[in-house]
Amino acid sequence: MTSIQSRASKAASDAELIARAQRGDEEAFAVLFDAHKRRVYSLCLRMTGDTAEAEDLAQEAFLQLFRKIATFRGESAFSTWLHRLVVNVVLMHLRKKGLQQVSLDEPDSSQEEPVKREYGDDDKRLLHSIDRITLSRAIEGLPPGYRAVLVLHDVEGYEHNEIAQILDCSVGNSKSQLHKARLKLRELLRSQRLPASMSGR
Amino acid sequence: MAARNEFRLTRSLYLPFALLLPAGLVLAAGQGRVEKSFRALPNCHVRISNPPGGTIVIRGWDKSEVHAVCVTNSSKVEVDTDPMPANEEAERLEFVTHILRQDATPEERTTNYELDVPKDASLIINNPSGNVSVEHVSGDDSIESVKGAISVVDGAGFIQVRSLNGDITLLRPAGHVEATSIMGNLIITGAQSQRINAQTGSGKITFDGDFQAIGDYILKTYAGDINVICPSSDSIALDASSVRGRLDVDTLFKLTRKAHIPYSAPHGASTLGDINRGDASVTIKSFSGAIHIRPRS
Amino acid sequence: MQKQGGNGAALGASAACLEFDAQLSDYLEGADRPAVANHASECEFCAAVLSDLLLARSASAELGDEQPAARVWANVRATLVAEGLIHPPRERRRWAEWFLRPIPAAALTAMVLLSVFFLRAWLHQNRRVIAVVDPALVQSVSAMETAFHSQSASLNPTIERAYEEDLASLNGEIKECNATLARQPDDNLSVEYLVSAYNEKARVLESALELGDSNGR
Repeated sequence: MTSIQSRASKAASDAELIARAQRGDEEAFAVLFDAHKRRVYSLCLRMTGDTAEAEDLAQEAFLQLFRKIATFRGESAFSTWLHRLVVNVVLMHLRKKGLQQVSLDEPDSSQEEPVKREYGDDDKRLLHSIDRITLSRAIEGLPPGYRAVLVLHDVEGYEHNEIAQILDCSVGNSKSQLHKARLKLRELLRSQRLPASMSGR
Repeated sequence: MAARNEFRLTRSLYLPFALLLPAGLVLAAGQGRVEKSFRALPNCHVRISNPPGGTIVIRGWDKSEVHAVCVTNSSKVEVDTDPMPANEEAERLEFVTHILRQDATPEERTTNYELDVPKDASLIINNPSGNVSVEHVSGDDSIESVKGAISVVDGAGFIQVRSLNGDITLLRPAGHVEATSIMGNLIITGAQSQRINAQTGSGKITFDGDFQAIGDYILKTYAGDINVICPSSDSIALDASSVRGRLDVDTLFKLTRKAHIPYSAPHGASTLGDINRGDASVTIKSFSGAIHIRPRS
Repeated sequence: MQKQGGNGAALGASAACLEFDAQLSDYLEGADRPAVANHASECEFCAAVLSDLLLARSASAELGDEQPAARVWANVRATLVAEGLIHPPRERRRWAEWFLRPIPAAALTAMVLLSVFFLRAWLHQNRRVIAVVDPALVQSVSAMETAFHSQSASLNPTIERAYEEDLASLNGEIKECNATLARQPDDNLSVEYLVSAYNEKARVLESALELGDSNGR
């Protein structure tokens, strides 16, 4: 795709690309795809933990995007619009798989003591380092609602106001759910019984 | 793969290094049968890689234990296993068949496995030339073969099965199903799944099950026929088409066709419409095979 | 409440620990909460919580993005073409050149023009057919097929035969789809099958090469 990237540098902006895509310009579609494919695919992969599923969902998300591109009027940033679409595609897929969802607008009563402590020697021991595979597996183990907010914020770098738009919740909700997600992630990482040091693995 | 390489290193540098490196356990070497049990977590992950071929039979049971029986045909192959963690209830167990001598004949390489695993275990199985049978395991299954037949009974997790030339039989699947073949037939019976994607090239597809209300189903062949049997009361949004083949939807299905120009080709057929409320999305396609949709009597 | 070490039984947090818990989220969001850092310097359990959360957060930020397989774009593009949402470029220039060519003797010219007309029409049909499959995918598949044939000896003969049968079957599908599209260029279903056959061929070759590779080790 290097020739596409070099042509992309000539295009003025996303706005111009979108306008061209709305007219059916193949190159514009290709450039938009190229510009966003890694983030979209990574989002799908982190949310599902499965390469084949992530490819299918990324494909579905881009198809929905390109089918609806004529309706994009610039009310929000294009990437926010795109990522909202991607998250909806993924959450719909997870819903169809029958996974329990934690609604971001309902108080989560499943955790009454957010920070679990057991005052034994094990709990003083730190996670010294975390390898990618262990972390990815732990993220996959989060409930979908927690996973979505953690992936969007800590992995993909979205701010809470952007997450609120993407997930259709309040900023306060996004913050509180992120905190719970991080605590849950910590539990999962510790339950994988990491040895004291994993450097070099 | 890391465990396998470490084990080979162990063999080549002999005993002193065996004491230093994390060693897998050799289960079977030479002609013979070895039986071993491992304590395991209820939702452990079990992986079997059997490149030389042989049969693999796996059954789910209620114990938190993996019981393995491995039978090798010669001393030219060896089975390694690596439970992780080593000294506690295993979260992951890997069984890998290694060919020790490249001059081994296919017969000498054959290795058969029979495992009882916790019923919530997840499985990853690669058995290129042998058959695989899995029963009563409700974790996720990922099973691949080149020419072996694959059978999964009462699978409830995410079932991904692929056999390029062998038939795939799924009896009473309840989870998400992805089944693919090039030349093998796909037989799905008693399905309760909400999502099924079954595709084969020249093989046939037989689907006998219920289409769930919020389900999403894709049945696709290139040249093979597709036979669907389901209750006439099922609620289906149907999109069926064939480039060259016939399409028969039994008249007992009350199909309300959509006001949409269906796919049309000179020798093809298609239909797009709702049966009852049109809740489940059902896509059935063939290039040259015939498509038959009949009610269960 | 006093903490006690021991067998890991939950004994309840001190007031300072509870205050730490209450302010931890804001602290991690960047708010000024000196009580959190102060307490972490006195309480090794809360220090472990804070350290773990900071480590997990930085590890998450370093996870990075993954690259999807080429087939994702190939499938998206093929579907968009099939739905008429994008229009591959047409070669209008060549038609213009045909009109502007100088004309020698009439009979010879007529034959040449007719030949050119039918040749270009045939090329136009087939270029469109090939254009629906990403050229990068076609090239990758061709390279993988060459690699497979050069190293298929490392496979068990019955497995090699199985792969050869599969490839023959898929090549037959590709040929049949191309023939259909040459006659009916707007046949969306044939486009879908053509793209699917290439993708499937890529997967089969990938599996064969991986198996050959592992047998060779």
